[in-house]
Amino acid sequence: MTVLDTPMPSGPAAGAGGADDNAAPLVKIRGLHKAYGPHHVLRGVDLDVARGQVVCVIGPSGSGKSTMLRCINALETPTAGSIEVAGDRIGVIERNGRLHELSPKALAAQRAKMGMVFQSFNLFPTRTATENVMEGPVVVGRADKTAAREKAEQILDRVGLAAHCHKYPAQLSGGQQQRVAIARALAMEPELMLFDEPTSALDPELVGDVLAVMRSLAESGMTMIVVTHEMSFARDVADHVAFFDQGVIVEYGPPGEVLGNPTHGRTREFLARVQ
Amino acid sequence: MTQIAERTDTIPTTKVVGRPHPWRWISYAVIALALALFVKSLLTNKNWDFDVVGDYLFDASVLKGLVVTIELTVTAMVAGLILGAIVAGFRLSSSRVLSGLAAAYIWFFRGVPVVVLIIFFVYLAQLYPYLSLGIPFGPQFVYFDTKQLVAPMVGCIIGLTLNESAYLAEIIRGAVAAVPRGQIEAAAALGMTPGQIRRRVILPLILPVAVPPFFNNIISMTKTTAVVILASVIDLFSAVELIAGRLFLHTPLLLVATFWYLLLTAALTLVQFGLERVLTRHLRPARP
Repeated sequence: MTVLDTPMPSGPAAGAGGADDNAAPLVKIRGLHKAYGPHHVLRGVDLDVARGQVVCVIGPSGSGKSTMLRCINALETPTAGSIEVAGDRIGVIERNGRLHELSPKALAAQRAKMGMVFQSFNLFPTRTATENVMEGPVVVGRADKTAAREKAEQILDRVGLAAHCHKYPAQLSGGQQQRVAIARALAMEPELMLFDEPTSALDPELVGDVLAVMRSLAESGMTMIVVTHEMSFARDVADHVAFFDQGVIVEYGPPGEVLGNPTHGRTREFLARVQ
Repeated sequence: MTQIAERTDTIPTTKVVGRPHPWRWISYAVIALALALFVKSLLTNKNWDFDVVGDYLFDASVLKGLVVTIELTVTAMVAGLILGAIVAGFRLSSSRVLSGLAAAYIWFFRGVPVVVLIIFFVYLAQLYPYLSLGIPFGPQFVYFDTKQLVAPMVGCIIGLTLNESAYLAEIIRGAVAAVPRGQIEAAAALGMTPGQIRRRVILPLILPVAVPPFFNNIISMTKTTAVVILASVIDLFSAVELIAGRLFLHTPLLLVATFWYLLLTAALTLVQFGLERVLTRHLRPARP
């Protein structure tokens, strides 16, 4: 079951790296398996994501979408297979023909290049919105505090939260918290953003604000992998949609094809249920 | 009849007569009676010897004992906290060897009475007259005379520290276990190293959880230190006992000790409340 992406011309603002950079995919997943004991969650996933592309990952719960996303920044350790981001093999290093676990420091450096947004926000509750956004640059990037604070406030302004900078997460709505979480990830200037069902925990009236932020991020040329149940977002924003079922990509292609004219029975069944 | 309403800014209240609470009033009466009887006995029974309490409340030897009690408490808590944090770290380790050893340590030092530990370390010289550092069955590098190394005060501190570290390790372990996984994942996803995650994410979250039981333990420790009387260390309790023995008067001098223990407890309670306020400020409603 191999579904490969023919390398696409890169997204709008991704021209910075030069032609060679753009030819190789930013994310390259090959033969990815993940099992928890006897529970085989991912059963051989291959996926390429080019720079500047937005890939939406859809599928029934338990199909392995989130597990794949968590493998990309090594929150889960794959049972088999390989993941490369910007040419770096994630989580392991090859020495003398054998794979060795990365040191915590090297792993942290790999993760710093990717931003992740969680379903349950996971903001640091003892820090204000601004402090949450500063945290990465100051602690990981060793940035100057004053400069980091200024930049954090700019990013919060960009996600429409200029008036809420001084508030603690408990004082913000779910939609506001999720936008702070996006700002926190963006402050690290990542090459890739991973979204793990970012709107699933939100009241329906708050979903729109978060999706709007993600949409403008996509338009700015950010490479994004989005696990989502928001079909309209996938249809409008994604360059490609991957449909997961039982641990594999069952269908893959532009949203018009996968969502508009699915060829696989299981995709059709799923879409009929969510729409 | 359902009606479309205009928004109103006045807040109406419906008058409701409160439910009667007869048992409350009965409780008040019983407690008031008991208190009155107690106060009457305090005022009429000459054996309390309140004048003696006044004479010895600020006696030099009592104050010196109080300083020793504070020294013992502070040293045992600080050393116990450091040791307890290390043991908790081992207990939470994914290595079964370290986790098992830490569990055994906690079991042992929570189980052995603190009196036994103190007497053991104070009389360590009888068991090991000399202590040395080196390779087992191999060359030894440093020798110590146990009697000079472990003075009674030091023996008491070691015993109190070992006992306290086991309790504090459990407090820290419980607080760390209560940190949501998502917090650690969010920090890891930002690119923090395990050390940065411990300092920047786990520590601020465990503090509000650990402070109340930690102060419970300090308050308890101020009084546990009284066992050092068995090692002839003169703390607050030993000091008043010495005076009581000389005067053949126990009650007023126990009141002297009680006064100071209660004052220490009050001070610690105030510190605890202040700390809790600071550590939970992120949970209060936003400024208008």
